[in-house]
Amino acid sequence: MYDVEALEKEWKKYKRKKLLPWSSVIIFLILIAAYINNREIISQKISNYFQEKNKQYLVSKEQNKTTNTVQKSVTVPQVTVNLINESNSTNSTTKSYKPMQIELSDDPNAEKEHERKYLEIIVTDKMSKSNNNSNEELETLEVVEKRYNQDNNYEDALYLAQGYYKQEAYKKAQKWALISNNLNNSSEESWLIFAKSKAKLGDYRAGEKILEAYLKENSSAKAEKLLKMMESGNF
Amino acid sequence: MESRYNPAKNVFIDSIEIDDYIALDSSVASYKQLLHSIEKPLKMILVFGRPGTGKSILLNYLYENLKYQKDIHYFATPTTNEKEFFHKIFKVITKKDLPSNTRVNFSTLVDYCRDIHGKREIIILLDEAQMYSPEMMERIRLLSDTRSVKFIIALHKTDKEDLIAKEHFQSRIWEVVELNNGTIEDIKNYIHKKLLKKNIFEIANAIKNNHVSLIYKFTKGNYRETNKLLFTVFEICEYYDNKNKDSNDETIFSKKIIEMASIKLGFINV
Repeated sequence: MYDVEALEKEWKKYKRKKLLPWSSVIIFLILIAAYINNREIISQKISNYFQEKNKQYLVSKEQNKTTNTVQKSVTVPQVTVNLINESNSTNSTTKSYKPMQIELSDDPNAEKEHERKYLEIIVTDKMSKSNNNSNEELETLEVVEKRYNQDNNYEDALYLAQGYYKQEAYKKAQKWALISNNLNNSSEESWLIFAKSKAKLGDYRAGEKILEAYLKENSSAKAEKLLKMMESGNF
Repeated sequence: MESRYNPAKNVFIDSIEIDDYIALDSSVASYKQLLHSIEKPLKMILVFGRPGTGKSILLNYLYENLKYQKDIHYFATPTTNEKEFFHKIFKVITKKDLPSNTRVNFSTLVDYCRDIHGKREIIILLDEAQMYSPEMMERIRLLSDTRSVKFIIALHKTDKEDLIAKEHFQSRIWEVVELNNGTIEDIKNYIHKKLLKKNIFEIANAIKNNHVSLIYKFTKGNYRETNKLLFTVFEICEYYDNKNKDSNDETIFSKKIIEMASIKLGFINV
């Protein structure tokens, strides 16, 4: 009699091998079924992701424009500084100084060169060094505010409310939370920012009332948590 | 105590005993064709088929059924030694023994066969004829030409033997009985009839169509391979039965055991 136990082990190995292609097919089918069942959620997430990316792109584009404008506005004093530097030193800032000299002439080519050189002037760096992140964000908010004035977009309004709240400009945050809430009163975030801004401005009671009013109509763990924090004085 | 699978295992020991002959539709048809051919004035009949299709058992069955009615002789094991072979032929034809140190004078033997033509009709069944040399085959043909001796030759159907059959017998054989592997239905009946013949009802009932399909898949309907597979299957069943004596498990016979036996016999390459 041969070793039946060893034979059984071989049989198990054979079964595993035989089932392998089937299990791959089953996993594939499960993935397809899961996709079909959650198609709406998945496509919504994908579209949200791209919307967010798009928004970020638009904001950064607008921000670049603003930065250029700021640079232009400070060109004159900077050049003056450069001129002083020029008079004091012989060879240190010749390159950055040159465009301003050319600017004074009427040569159109030189003007063109000036513009190009102007962008290369380290003034921008100096500006950015002096500006902190919050200034940049405030500039972004200004851009978005301008855009809101054109489009009256709910998402822009909410973005402004969130942005100003982050910047601790609570009055503005309160204003934009109200605006965004008027555009979409089911927006929980606008309620929360409005309440938080009220509280931050010292009116905790008003903040609590806002949250209570919201919780009467809706159930929200976030709002409940915030209300508890305000009530317990931890906000 | 002996396992209940032990008798089932022994049923599938490969043999050509008449007791093991199973009358399937296809085998009965071949047997009838062979009987019918014997009655014709033919010199040679070829029983042709792949190994394991039942040629030997068919010849043996024929011999056992006709041995008291006809002058019939069965050469189960081929004798490759020519001297020994013709000593046996001499004895069958003349009913006399030759001293072992003498040789058969073949032309005298042929003359003797001519003399007995019309008086006797000798039938010689030669199994495994592919083992005989072409020279021996040529002498067999000369004997059959006397019409006193009729040869029924069982030959393996392989490319090589096919060539031999063509070269040596094509012009002389008047009848060919070809045996093939069984169909799935033949295999099912074969297994069940074999078990029922030995009164092993319980195990026969446990063998369902899906089991037969699996057995057929591995053996391709070859009876010898089926015997081998089922012998191993019941050997494994016997092992589990002995191992779990107290559990009285009725479901030992399963597809799993068939696959294990197939791995053991190399039908499945793991």
